[in-house]
Amino acid sequence: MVAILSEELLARFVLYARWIRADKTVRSDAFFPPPDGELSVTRHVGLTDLEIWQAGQAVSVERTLPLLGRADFSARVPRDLNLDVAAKEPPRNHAVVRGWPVEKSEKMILAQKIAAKASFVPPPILSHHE
Amino acid sequence: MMLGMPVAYPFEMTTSGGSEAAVFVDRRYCEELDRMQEALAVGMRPDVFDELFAVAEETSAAGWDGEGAQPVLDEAVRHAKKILKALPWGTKAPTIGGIPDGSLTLEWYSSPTRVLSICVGTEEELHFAALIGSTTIHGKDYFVGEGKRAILGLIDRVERG
Repeated sequence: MVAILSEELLARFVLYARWIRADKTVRSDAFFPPPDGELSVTRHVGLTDLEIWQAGQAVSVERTLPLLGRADFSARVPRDLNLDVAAKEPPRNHAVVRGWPVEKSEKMILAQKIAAKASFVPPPILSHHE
Repeated sequence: MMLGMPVAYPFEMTTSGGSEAAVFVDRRYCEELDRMQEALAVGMRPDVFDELFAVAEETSAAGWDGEGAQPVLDEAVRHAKKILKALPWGTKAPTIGGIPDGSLTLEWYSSPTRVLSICVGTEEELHFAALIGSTTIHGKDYFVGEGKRAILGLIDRVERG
């Protein structure tokens, strides 16, 4: 297993429009863990910006939902909240945030704290060649 | 009109007769009155109920987030509507969202560090979390009595920011 440094940036791809606020910040809903307790993220390390977007595009195609952007945050953010960040490949650079508390409102507050530190990045504008 | 009271539709003011057109006009008139009442219940943003039903539609199937999310059930939508209608006059309407456990979220937001989320599911009990500067407040409660007053207090603290 590849160790993840706390300085590393992680990307959470956003596929649901209502998770992006009008001011281009990301709602905490995007960071609430799924039923299996493993929040999927993609590590930036070793990838170009284009390759990060390609990873997002692959997720988008697999899930048949449009890629609306990504929320970037450092691995330190969840770790400072006593959450675990661990690599979980394949696919390449995939990782999960896990170790969430059982109590729902505690998960909500942790998701809010991650959201507060995350930066929304819209997808690049594709050039059209006609 | 008294807030929270059923609307007494003034049928005598609407089109009389049994034609399809008359029935249509009556129905639309009643729908508009319902819409006005819902807007008055919240005090602004009449589209908040439209937003609620749009989110309900978007999240009604399992896996709506592409990651195995549970569907938002009708019971959760009914609870959310009940909460919205129970907000006092002048309360800013929240924005509506959903989370993977099949709950709806009502969010009052001033900034990323001044935000309140309420999760509404199939149970009457709701879960809430507020980040207000460096202060965090979270728990579960019912939207009645002291619980309602506490949550309204949190909305006020978030909005005053």
